[in-house]
Amino acid sequence: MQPDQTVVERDGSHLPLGIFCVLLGTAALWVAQDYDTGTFISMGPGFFPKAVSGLLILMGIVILLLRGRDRPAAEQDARDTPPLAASLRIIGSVTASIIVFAAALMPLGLPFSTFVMVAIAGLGHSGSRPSTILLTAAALAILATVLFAWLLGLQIPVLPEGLR
Amino acid sequence: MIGGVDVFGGIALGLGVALTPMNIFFCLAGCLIGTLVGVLPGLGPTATIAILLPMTFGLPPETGLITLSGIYYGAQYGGSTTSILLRLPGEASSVVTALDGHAMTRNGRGGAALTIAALASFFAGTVATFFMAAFAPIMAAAVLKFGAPEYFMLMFLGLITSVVLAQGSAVRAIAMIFLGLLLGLAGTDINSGQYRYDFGFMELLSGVPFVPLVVGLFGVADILVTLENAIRDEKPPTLNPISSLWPTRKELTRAAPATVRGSLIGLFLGLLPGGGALLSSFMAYTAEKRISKTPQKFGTGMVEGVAGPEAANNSGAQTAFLPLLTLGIPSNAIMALMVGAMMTHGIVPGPRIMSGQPELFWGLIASMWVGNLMLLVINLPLVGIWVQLLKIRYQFLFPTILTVSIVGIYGVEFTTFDVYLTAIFGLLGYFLHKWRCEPAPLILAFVLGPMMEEYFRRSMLVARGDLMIFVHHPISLAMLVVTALLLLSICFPFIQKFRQKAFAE
Repeated sequence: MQPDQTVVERDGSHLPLGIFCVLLGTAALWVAQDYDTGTFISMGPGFFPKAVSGLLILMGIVILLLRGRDRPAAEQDARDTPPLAASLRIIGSVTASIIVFAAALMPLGLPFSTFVMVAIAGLGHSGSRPSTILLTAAALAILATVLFAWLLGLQIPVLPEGLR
Repeated sequence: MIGGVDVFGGIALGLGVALTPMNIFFCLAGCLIGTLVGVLPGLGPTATIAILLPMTFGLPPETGLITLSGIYYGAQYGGSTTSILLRLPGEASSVVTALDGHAMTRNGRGGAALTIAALASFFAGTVATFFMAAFAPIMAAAVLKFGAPEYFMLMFLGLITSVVLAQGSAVRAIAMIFLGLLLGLAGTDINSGQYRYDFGFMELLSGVPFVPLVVGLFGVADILVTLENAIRDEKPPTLNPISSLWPTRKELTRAAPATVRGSLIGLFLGLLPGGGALLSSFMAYTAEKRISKTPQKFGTGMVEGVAGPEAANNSGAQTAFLPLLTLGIPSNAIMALMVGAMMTHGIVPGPRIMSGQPELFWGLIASMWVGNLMLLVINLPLVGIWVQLLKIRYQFLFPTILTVSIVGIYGVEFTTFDVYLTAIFGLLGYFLHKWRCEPAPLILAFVLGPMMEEYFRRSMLVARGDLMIFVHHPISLAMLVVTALLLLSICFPFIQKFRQKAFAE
């Protein structure tokens, strides 16, 4: 927790963040080039997009130039980052579970797609036994169907497409 | 009669609305759900309200908003419970409570700390309810003098405040503001009809949908971060046994004046755009420490250090509704969610709510008092049960959160497009967390952005492109001065320093 230079240097989060801001700002600026800027008195639809993208790029550059010195030293936690493979497994399984749910909902119906979503997401929690994951998935599939399709009465397909 | 509005008639009307069986039930449900998630780790009030937002869309508008606000102050209550007993503040505004609250627990006075926190909150909530009832008509009358420059300046002030209050780097908070503004620009431009950043998706023509953005940034990103942290520490929190809930006479006499001071501080700081509960509790703690004859004892279990901030964050949390109800401007991320909820019900937040939908306006205010009473009467005896909830394993918790939020998102617009968007925003939220950026300024900017653009363009049209219009209008000038002072305060960061101390272990 001592605010010396070595601790400041260790936090590398400014690099991806700065690059992200610059890239996104540039992309937004590029898309906005066709929007009419107008004049300062009578602004067109392009004025704000261009101004905001420009400022986002500027902030990205500032973040890159500060090289992590913008963060108070006490918040630099020296906790070691988890291994990359574990992080990727978490991000991958949770994100994939949502995408699979979206893709499966229309053709397969709510209970089945919920089951698949929870089963895939469960892979992100290391240390869960497969049987526990499957039981959780089955319970939540029932819960979601009862809660959303019956109690709240939302127009969600329940049965798979062939059986409707 | 204040500002041409019959306040007592209004309160009576509001109690009539809030005390119907259905609204009592949903207020109770909101308070319980709010406390539940306030206690559970890894779920803040913002995420909870976002996740449960779709479920309230089927309810009548008053009931929906009463439920959401119940969740809001319930979560605040749950957050202070865990910060007192376990030093695990569920959210930023109960961080200061953890300092002396947890110290009291270590001294064996945890039960008393809980009771004092609950009583202080209830007192502050009562004061805030009456303050709101009396002050809202005045504000609504003052708003009639607001033109485009004043509205723009007020929102600008709100954004700058959220930067000052964001944890960590101010530069990154500003970057988040621009990111939020950029996301808010997508959709059809009101003035010209030009489609902006629609990428050919029909769904984006009315802008980036709000619920997927919020659930992604708060809900899904929270899950990712918590799962990742779980690899490192799987230890359940250790719990000290809870002492008697009854405070001693001496503790009560010391807590009472602190409660009154805290309530008053919260009332006014809650009104500031970007302020609300967080700023109020920090200021109340500082004030108590300054007034106290033994400031060096703070942090070792001073009752004042629990009562003051708890009162302040509760009254601040309530008066934060005022800018929303009278000006139509959300002052923080949670209020931005309330805007989303109102819009879905076809209600335009702003000065017209009070005259146009008096049941909604007064019903909401009255329900806050009812909700505070419920928290006191029902929740305090249940403390033991709430604490047991901490033992729920995350491997069951996160699939449940995921299911409820994702199915709920589909239920808002009935399009899987929103579900795909949630996955994208979840990833964005995860990386922003990795890069030490707070999502709250982003959400605020996202909601305020379209309004700010509109008012800025209108101001420039009126002033013929002269930026001095913001200086020539007195109300706008006053807000400009406050904004400038706030920006200066980043350079003299006593607030930042104070926060470091609060967060340091």
